[in-house]
Amino acid sequence: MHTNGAGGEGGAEAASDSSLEGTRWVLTVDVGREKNTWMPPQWAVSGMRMRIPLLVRFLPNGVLKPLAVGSYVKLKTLGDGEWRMDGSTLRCRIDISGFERGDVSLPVGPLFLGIPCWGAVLSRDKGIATIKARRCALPALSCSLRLSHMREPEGELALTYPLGLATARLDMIVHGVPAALPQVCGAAGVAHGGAHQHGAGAG
Amino acid sequence: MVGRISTERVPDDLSEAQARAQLPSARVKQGDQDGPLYM
Repeated sequence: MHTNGAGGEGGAEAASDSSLEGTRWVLTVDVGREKNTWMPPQWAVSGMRMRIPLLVRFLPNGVLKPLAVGSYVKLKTLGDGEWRMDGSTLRCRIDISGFERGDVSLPVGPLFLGIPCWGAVLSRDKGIATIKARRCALPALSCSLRLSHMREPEGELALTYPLGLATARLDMIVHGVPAALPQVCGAAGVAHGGAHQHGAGAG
Repeated sequence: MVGRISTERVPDDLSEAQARAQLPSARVKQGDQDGPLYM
């Protein structure tokens, strides 16, 4: 596939003068294990990757029209998708039928694409693909994690992990969780932060 | 995050049939045993 224009600088691809509307693009989704992914531990753990080209047209009113999918993959697009500009990011949603090849798979449902852009100039290779997924009960708990070294937090739940010769602490600050959670965590073997109260100020 | 995206604009003067015909096929890249394995 040939490109239109000079190709731009810094890995950017020149788009039309003022808008993406009416333009056609090949968006190649390179599916595979990524750093810090929340996909299951065995998902794509072999290192295998699938590169799936999608030919799409950006229509007015935020309609993303899938025109074709690269051959040799059992993945289909389900109807029209959506696109919008979110500041310096182009956000797209495409409903897909899902596929499975080895330990690489995607479920049926929406595939979200986030592509950095500068006006109507799309990044050539810095986009990311995500799906909606849940892992354990973390979304329901609404908690934040913080890694610190030998720090004594006050009134927090704390987990201690050995990291080589040093010891690091993984402190979990829980927001808006019922008071019964410390008992639950205690039953699961998590030390409650109340034990740290006399250690306050150790910073 | 399930993958990365690369983009390439289709020239405006290319017909839709030509664009479909030139669309690359999907490809599989086997894992590199010596490469990084992200958990």
